[in-house]
Amino acid sequence: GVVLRPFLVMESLDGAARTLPSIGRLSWGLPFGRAHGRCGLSPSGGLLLQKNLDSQAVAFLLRKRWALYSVTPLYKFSSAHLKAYAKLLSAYIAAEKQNGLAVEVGVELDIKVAISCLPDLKGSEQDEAAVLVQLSLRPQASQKKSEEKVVWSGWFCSVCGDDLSKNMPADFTCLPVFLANGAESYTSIVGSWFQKMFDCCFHHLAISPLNLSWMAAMWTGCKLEENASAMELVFSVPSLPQSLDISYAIHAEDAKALWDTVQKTPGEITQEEVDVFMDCLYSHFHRHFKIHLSATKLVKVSTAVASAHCDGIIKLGLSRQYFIAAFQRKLLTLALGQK
Amino acid sequence: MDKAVAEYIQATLKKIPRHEIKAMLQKWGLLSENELQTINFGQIKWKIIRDIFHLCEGIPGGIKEVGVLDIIYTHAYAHKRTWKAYQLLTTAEKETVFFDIRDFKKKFKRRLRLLVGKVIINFKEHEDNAIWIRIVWGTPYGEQNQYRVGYVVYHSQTPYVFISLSRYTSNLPMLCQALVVATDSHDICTMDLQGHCLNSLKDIVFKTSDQNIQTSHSEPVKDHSVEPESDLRLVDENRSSREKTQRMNQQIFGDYPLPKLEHVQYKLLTMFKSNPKQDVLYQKEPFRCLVKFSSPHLLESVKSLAATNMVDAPLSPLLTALVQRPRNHFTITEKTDSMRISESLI
Repeated sequence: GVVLRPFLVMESLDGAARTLPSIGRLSWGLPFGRAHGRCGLSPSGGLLLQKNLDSQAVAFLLRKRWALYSVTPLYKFSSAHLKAYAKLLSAYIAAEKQNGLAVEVGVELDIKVAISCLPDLKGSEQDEAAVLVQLSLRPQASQKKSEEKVVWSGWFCSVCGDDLSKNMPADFTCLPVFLANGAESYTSIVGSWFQKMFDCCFHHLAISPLNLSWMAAMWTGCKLEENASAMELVFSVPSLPQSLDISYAIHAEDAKALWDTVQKTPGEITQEEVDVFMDCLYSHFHRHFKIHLSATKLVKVSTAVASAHCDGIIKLGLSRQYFIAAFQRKLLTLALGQK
Repeated sequence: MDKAVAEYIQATLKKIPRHEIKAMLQKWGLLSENELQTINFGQIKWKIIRDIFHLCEGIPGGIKEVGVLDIIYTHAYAHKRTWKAYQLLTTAEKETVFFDIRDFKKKFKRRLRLLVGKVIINFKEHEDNAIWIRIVWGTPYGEQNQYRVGYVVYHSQTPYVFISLSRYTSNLPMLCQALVVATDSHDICTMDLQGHCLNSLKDIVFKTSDQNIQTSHSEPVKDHSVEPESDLRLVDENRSSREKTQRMNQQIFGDYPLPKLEHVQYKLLTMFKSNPKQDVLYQKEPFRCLVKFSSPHLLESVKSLAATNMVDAPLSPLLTALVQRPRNHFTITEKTDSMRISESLI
């Protein structure tokens, strides 16, 4: 289920009442992630991104831990006013600091806010461009040459959702996934400002074992770079007096070889295929240890492409190919499915 | 004492919990009882450290003396490091040779210095015949770095050595060679056993060797055949079979407290055998996996896991090997129709 962050709840209860449509109330009929649903990984979406992925603008997204949130559509948000928003947010952060609410934020250090577009990051032409928010510390007078240090970043993105953009009422912008990297106190301040400003609400996204196994299959199927790191599944064994974790790492080539024989149509994944894939891995494990992994809880999936933890923490782009297309689609499903 | 030395004392003291500082300083013995009495051990920690720091500045002594304090700390807090067990291989007649500790120290120091150059070596003997050796490795520029420290615990009456090198594993071959020379052994091999709890590692290693002595030709671990196809049906166990399982687990794990290990690792180099119904992956090469179980108290966890219906009875030989063999790193290969736990030597 959805974990509501305490700092967001007060706002969102209020906001949700006024804000229509909330994502959950629209029925977009996304089959992804549900039993026996079928989903095409849009090749166009993949290519669109791949072409631009080398750009410096998105390099910072790679190799960082991102906390996942779902966001309801933003009301009266315009990408033409990003500079003005940055100023307002900057003032808001300063005010919060003065009120002493944000204890963890450095008091004497100035926070600079930058909000920009990431036009490269979208699944299809119809999608809204991703929006990046960055907080950096201004260099102090004493350290003249030092550069600004980014202390927190967060980005909103849209996900191959042609239908979403078409069906969105006027004045609403759909950027349903939000990813944050940095201290939670900053996430809290930035989140509450967006809620006040654009009448939206944020929900922390947990990732279910079912979705984790989808990600495992999806990322395993991606074309491999040489010496790609192994696909690792981490299971936690419930209700033992002492905690017990089982890490099951499969050589990337062997995992892909298995997936390639399971997947029937390249570019498409079905729930049945994901189930067969996981069953195969479980029974190989059982042959050795006589332990039923299906009775434990899958908590983490990690591949060369990306890693995801059930707590809603993801790490992107250990490989530059494919990932965003696959990833964003999955994120969208999560963002919509968990409402 | 020069400044660098005094600073290292500070760093060492910082690791020690406040209420243990006095006792450890007394064991250390470099500061006299009178000097220690001038310090108020009731005040907050940084003030205690500051006062000791000032005291130390006034006394003679070098970095070697501080090393002893670090050994005392590490002896008490051995679980903060990762220890690996090694076995010295000797020819039968050499085992009876009387162990001369002075000779051991001399040979060890000489050989290690020959191989690595500048190192600082501290020895401290403990009551249980254990010799603790602390080694400060040099940097490529010749300077020793007090923060690059390795530990060796050697039980002189046994062929077992426990080594904790942390990150500086490149020195391992040289260290092993020095140990081989100093103990008149002909080789040293890893036991594929590691963990944080040094005493548990000792228990595992010594207990196994005791058993070997008692039943001089103890039954070798059998090659366990693997069931032809995995059976995913959760067996509806009746009471008697459940009791039987419990009895069997009891036999495997015993009644005594289990030694403490944090992980076990299996490198699987076995074939993937698919369900004929599924028609997936057919390859002649092994399906390469690495499986790691981790827990604050692994053997207890595995024991309680074995009692649940997440595990089919009887317990997998790979899990029982964990209890029966003094090791926690295994390589599993396929041998015709059975799985084999292969030994690996360094």
